[in-house]
Amino acid sequence: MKLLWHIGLLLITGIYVVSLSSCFNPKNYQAMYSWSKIPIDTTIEKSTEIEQIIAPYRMSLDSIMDEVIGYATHDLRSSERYESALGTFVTKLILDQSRVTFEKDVDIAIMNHNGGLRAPINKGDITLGNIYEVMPFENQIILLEMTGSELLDMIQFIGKSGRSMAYPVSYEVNDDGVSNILLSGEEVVPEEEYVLAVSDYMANGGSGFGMLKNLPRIEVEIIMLRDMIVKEVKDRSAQGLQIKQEVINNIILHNSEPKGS
Amino acid sequence: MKRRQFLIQGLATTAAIGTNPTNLLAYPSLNQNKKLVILHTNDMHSHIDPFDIGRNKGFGGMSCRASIIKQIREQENHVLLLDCGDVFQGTPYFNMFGGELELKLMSTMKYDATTIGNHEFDNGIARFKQAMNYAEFPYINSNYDLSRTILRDSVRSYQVFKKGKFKVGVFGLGIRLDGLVNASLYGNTKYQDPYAVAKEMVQELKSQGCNLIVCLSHLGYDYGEKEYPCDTSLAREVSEIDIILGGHTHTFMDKPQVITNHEGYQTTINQVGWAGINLGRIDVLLTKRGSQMSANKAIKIS
Repeated sequence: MKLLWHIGLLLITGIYVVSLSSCFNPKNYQAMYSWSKIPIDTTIEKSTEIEQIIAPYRMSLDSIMDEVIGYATHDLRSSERYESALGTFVTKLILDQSRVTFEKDVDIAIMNHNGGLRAPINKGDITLGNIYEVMPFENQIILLEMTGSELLDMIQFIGKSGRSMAYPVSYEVNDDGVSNILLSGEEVVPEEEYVLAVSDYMANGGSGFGMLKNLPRIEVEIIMLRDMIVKEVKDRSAQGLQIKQEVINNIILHNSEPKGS
Repeated sequence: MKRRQFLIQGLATTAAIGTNPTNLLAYPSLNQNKKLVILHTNDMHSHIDPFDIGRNKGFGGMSCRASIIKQIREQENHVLLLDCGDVFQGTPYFNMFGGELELKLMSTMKYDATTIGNHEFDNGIARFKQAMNYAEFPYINSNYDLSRTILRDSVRSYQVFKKGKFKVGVFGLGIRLDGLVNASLYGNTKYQDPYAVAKEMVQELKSQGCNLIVCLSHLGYDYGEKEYPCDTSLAREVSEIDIILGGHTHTFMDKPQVITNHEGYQTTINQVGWAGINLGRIDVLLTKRGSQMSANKAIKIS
């Protein structure tokens, strides 16, 4: 009955008529169309048949996700604005790995804080499942070419919102904007070309990054951001290293906003 | 042409009914052989389980979808259950099991067909073929030339389904892979012009006596000013496709779009987002042409 109620109540319906492009001999027919969109949600009863098929896969998946791939010496959080330990860890690894993988001189990497990194890496064992929690999205890292002035515009936007990390970038935030922007400690030359490593989501204009939408993309292999994070953790473990990343304090705030949130 | 104008008027009237569900009238003494229920999904992206995080929390899940489909099958004689590609990629289920579970579950739900989305190639063409062993339904694609690949005998260019008075011709169109998928993954798959292929398909299916032509498209709904082939441009370019079920752009359409092209042919386009959040349903009911009464009556759903 619950199911019936659901279908009855939640259907979004409509009706219209179009002519069928063909004839039904010997009589002519027209087709009347009606449509509906049926939302699927957990208030609908589960199918036991389907659940039985899923069960062994789910169990096996859970055991895979429980694999320990590394160890964190402290909590790496992404909830802070402007700068965070997890944001720094991830943007740095995006930069390092895309330089190696794409064999390009990548200058800068950006990533959203808690909009993009959905969970912290907590002190202690890091499981594969943890990394899926940090990055549940199927985001790919791609490379964009931009001029120095476009790069500066992007940092202005990042500095004003405080919701994303840019690495290795330092700047000062004042109430009326962002100043003293440095990339790897050097001034950005407006006429020069720079290469940005960024998720396809942001490159497509997500989270207000519309300024990236029409930038030329360097055609590259498909690399999932999550895979990059897993690789970094595993590589460090293989070298006997633990995961630690302090906030560098590259951003100086002169504005009235609190740094953490 | 006059006749078509009349029918477009009919469309406007009935659309008004559609916005006000209280006006829905039960269709009396429905002849079940003249009614076809098309159910469709697109871009399910390995979302076996409902979302447990984010704004779609609680939505989706193949188990709940299966219950709804079963329910509809109990009520309706003629159901076609179709998918528009990108079944693969998006959760660890795909990373770990390569699409096996997705296709097993779709088979259990008795899907009638799917088409090839770009993400079907994500593990390479060999593992795609391997996963296909779990699909007890055809892959339909018409514009990828697969003759020099191992998928040569695994994909049909079209399929005809007989459902009551309906003879439904289903063909499929895939997106240009170059630049979207790593070339090493799709191998010798050759993309062919969707418009030209669609015209051939319509001709072929008509010659076989099909009275309803459905395209499973993974071209994407609409790209605005960019002139990539998409569902709206396909409807404008190619006559006599009755329904285009779409995918790729993850478009949540509020309602299907009906496009009347330069030759006066009308095509219905629909797409239902992604990840199995919605199940699309289009009911097609045959009525005698010119019967004004029928144009103002509605099918009662469920």
